[in-house]
Amino acid sequence: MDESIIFIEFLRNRIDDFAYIFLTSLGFLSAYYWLYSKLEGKIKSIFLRRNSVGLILLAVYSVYYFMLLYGKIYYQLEGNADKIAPYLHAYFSMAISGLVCFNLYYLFTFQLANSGTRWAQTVKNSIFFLMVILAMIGSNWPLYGSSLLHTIPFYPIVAFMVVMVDAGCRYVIRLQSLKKKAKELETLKLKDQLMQAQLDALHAKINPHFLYNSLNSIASLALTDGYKTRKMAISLSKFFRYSINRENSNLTMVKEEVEMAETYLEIERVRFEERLNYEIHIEPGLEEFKIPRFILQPLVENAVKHGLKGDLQELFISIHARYEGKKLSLSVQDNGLPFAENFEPGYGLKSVYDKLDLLFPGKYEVALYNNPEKQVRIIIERQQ
Amino acid sequence: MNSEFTAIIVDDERPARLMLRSLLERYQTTICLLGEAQNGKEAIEMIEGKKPDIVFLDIQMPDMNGFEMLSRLTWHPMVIFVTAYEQYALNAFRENSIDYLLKPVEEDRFDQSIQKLLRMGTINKDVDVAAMLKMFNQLQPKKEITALPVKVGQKILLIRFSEITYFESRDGYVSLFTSTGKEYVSDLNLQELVEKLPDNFLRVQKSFIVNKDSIKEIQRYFNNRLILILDDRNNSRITTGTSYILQIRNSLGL
Repeated sequence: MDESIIFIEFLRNRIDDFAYIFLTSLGFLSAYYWLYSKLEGKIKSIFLRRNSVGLILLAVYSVYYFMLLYGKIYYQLEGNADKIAPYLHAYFSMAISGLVCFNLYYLFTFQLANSGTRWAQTVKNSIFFLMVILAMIGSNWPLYGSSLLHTIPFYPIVAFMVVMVDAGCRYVIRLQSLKKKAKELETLKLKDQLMQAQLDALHAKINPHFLYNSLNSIASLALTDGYKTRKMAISLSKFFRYSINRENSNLTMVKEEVEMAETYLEIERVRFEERLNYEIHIEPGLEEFKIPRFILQPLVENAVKHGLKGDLQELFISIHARYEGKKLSLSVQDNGLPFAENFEPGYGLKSVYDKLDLLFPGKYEVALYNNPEKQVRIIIERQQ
Repeated sequence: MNSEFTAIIVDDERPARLMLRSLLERYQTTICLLGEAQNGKEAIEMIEGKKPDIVFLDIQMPDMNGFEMLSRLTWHPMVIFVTAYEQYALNAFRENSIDYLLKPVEEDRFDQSIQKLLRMGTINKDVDVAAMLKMFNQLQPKKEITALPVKVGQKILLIRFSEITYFESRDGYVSLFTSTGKEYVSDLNLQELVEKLPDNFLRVQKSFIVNKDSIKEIQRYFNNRLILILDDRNNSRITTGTSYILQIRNSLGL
């Protein structure tokens, strides 16, 4: 034989060795990591919990298989290929193929499979078939070399195996997720009950200080101004009737909410007289927009409470309800001191957030502004 | 003026002043009303100027509370506190055997205080104003910080702590991430945040603070580190720093 041809033959065989070793080790590595990520925390085995032990095991297995395979390749090179039972090897390589492609498949597609979009599914499936073909070529390379056509009868068997194992895994995962879903449903029910309880608690909390001060005003005005006293008593009862919320409704209309804010301001105006003034504007068409109860009044109360601090002699509050696109913008603006840099929200504002969180999760925004005017603004999407 | 005592009324609400005035009218011969002040600042001026024997004092006023006002006085009158406060503040009065009136003011109760004054010639004379002020401030319901203000253009948004999953410091900026995957930039640096944030926030690495409640899964990683998988939209993975491992283990009970 021509020397150059022998050399090329030799070279081809080295490349074969390399390809096999590379693909097999890749398979084992992925197998190991797959097992590690799957079973970590589930099986309290020292082999899986300890990285170093796992890696040593992997190394021992790899060396064992490399030696085994290299021995076979050596046989082949010596021209003793007939002595190896070809079928035995074929089944062995099938098992390796299955392992390799299955694990590579999970290693590369686990993230994608979880994202669930159609695009991701397509990519995932393509990777799957690519892996099957790659693994089969890899594991059969040393026996058949370039005449891979001989291995064709095994392809469907390997593919079937892979699909079966895959289906099995999917079934287990599905079972787990079904259980999880059932649990979630249960917590959802509990959450619903909790939400109602939370809302009830939020509604019931009315500042007793406000009540005593108002009643004190009534007691003193009764001596001098019967008409004003009557007005105050009526406003107060209106306000409390609204806050007690007999109908147990969590939502109300903008016009009602604004009316209650106005009632509150009227009560405070009896106490603070000409030092407190306000204006209210509702854009036509917004009157019946549904919003949570008692989200406007706490903002107005804050404006009154903090606005009269300092040297301010006359507090002016304006309440606006207007459209912002299709959303509702509800703002309370006043001429008091601006919000501090490290502003810390009190109970009132927190309760507004809590109510919106429970009733309009993700569909609202509460923002404070100092420019151009000091104001608190709530933006709410229309309820479907 | 041949009245035995002089008095002024301090209250920010006119109706409340009206109430006290009408109650005082019945004691015209013994108590002479010198004037009425409607906030702390006015009260200080009036008390220093007119040097009354008695002050009817509302505790809660917009510019300063009643004890603060008293602590700034050089002239120390007798004080009858008038308050709409609830239980917690009243206990402080009782423990210091201080005479006070509750709003709405009852006539009988008012008479009792005045009778006591007329009988003893003095009332609430030895109130330790500094101690009361301190106690009063302590008794105020502690304001629990629940959110972090974040500036977005002109807006100041309040991001509730429960929404925040983690903070990351990158190129000198601190970003905070919410469970819905939103990112905001905070004005504070990580060290300032550690001091400000409640206990459930944990420094896990030089450039990360994590909300303990948002940790979904913990995986071991080599070199004594952990991988924290957070319960947010991106299932964020944060690798902890080697030097923080002790604090993390203690705090997470590992």
